[in-house]
Amino acid sequence: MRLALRNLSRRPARTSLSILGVGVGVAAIVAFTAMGEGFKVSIDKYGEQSGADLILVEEKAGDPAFGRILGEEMEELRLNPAVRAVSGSIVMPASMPDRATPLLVAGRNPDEDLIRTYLNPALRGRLLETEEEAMLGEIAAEELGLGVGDELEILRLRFRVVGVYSTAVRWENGGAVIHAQVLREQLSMPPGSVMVAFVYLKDPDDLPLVTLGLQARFPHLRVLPTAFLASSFEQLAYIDSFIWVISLAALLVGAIGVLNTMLMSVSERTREIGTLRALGWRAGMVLRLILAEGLITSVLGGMLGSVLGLVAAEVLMNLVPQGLLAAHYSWPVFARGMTIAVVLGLFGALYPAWRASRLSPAEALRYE
Amino acid sequence: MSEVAVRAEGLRRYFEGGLVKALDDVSITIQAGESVAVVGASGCGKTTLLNLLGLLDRPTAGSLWIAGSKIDADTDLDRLRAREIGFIFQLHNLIPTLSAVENVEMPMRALKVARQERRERAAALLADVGLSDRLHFRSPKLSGGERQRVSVARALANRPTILFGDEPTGSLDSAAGCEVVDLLLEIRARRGLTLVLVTHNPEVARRMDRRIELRDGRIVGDASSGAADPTGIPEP
Repeated sequence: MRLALRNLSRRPARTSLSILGVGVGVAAIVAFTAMGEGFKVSIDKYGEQSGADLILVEEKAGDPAFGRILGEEMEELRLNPAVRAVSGSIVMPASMPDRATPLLVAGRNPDEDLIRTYLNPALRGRLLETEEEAMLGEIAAEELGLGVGDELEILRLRFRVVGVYSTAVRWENGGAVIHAQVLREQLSMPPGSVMVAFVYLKDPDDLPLVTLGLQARFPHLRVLPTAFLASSFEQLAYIDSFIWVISLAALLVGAIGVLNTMLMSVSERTREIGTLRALGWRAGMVLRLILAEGLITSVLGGMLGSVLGLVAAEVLMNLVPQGLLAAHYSWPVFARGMTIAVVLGLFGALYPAWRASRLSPAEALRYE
Repeated sequence: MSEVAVRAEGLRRYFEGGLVKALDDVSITIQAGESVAVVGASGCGKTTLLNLLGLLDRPTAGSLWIAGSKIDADTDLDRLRAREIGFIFQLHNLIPTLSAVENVEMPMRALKVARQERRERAAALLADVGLSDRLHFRSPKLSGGERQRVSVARALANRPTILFGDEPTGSLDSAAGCEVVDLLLEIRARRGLTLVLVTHNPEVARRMDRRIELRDGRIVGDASSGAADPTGIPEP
């Protein structure tokens, strides 16, 4: 390992560039994986903080925002003997003249349980009560420079800000909440209809039975325990695929970088390899030496990439307003980055190492 | 009767499918403890012979015995080379990022000698070649003669029985070259080594016990240095 390190330090510029190549690939993986994970975690927290036991979304809607649950179905849910309460959610992006991206506006009914999500010690002001009132998430309030008592103009309507809330979900904090009826009218939705229904059971132990019952009664809806809300977002599958494509591209680019570096290094050191063989080094020792150099390059690249990925994710989150993006840094995120770095390092060094180990000592010593 | 260090019979080394006969029907016996100079014009096959005797290459045909071992397809050349043979190259071939002592340790790594023993032996060998004050110098910081001394110490690292040198004085000025030859002969005498040097330098060749001359891949002269050359071929 020490000799491998020394060899790498011989060409500091080239080694640094190679490490950077691996690092950039790993950074892309870490940043995108962290943000993908962040999105999933946000959705799970969104479901969790609602306090509901079950969530209903339209089966065929890839994104719950495109789904519809009719007013009659909401009424039937409320009449179910196992159900204590039902809340509905409507979400709509509202464009704003001074902002590059729209404000995410959630519609809530002030009489339903779901509005209590915002009732926590961090709430400044109060919960909304009328169709003329609005609440702002703390990130949106800061970005818009608004507070309790100010006027918010969205959807060509004016609202009085009565509360500024903070929840565990970053994209909620970057949005606003108004009366569900206002959004329903804006979207021309039928009376009482919602996009997502949150169901609160009288007895949580009834969850499996009620889930089966509701699924049988509403086959066009997907009935999910709250913890599985993320699975109703088909986009998450796309995000996962996107991350894998990025990972594969990074793997390829990084491996080519390591391959190029190691090939050049082996070519330059042909006589040296011949000398080592003449001194009694076996082909396997030469192979291990070159592989170790590739491994060190990729591990250092992986470490650099982890840091760069973290920085990139934070920069991206701050570039996008409203807190739409959230990053979640867990050890599997970094483990994935490091694993890919190590695999590409070994993959990139394999051919040069094999080539070096196959050199005949006499030929290698003749090499000019 | 003295031991045989190197024995070759009908040694051939062809390249390009037999079009180039670098070495053709060479038979030679070198006794243990002998010092031998291999001379001849450039391209006559000196280095090819050294590579075969030094187990860096395999012959196209012929038989070879090194330090009592018959060389065949199953012979572990790496191991035999590491144990029995030391090499000195014209351009020293030291690894520039390693210190003198680390360079001397390199052959010992091939035999998995423990780190502590490696370091002690390497330091002792460097002291033996007069470089005890240069242990931690990297090769770019050493003079040409000092580098070749490190190379000699490295060749002795695994206590070989045969020392091969390919133009070991070729890149040195005459004074430094003379010092290196003195050192090699002194070590050979002290350790009872067999010394085989490829050289273009008649003075170096004259100081060896025996002089083997090659031309076009064949031995054309083989005589003790004090004796008249039976072939009458002038020195290169």
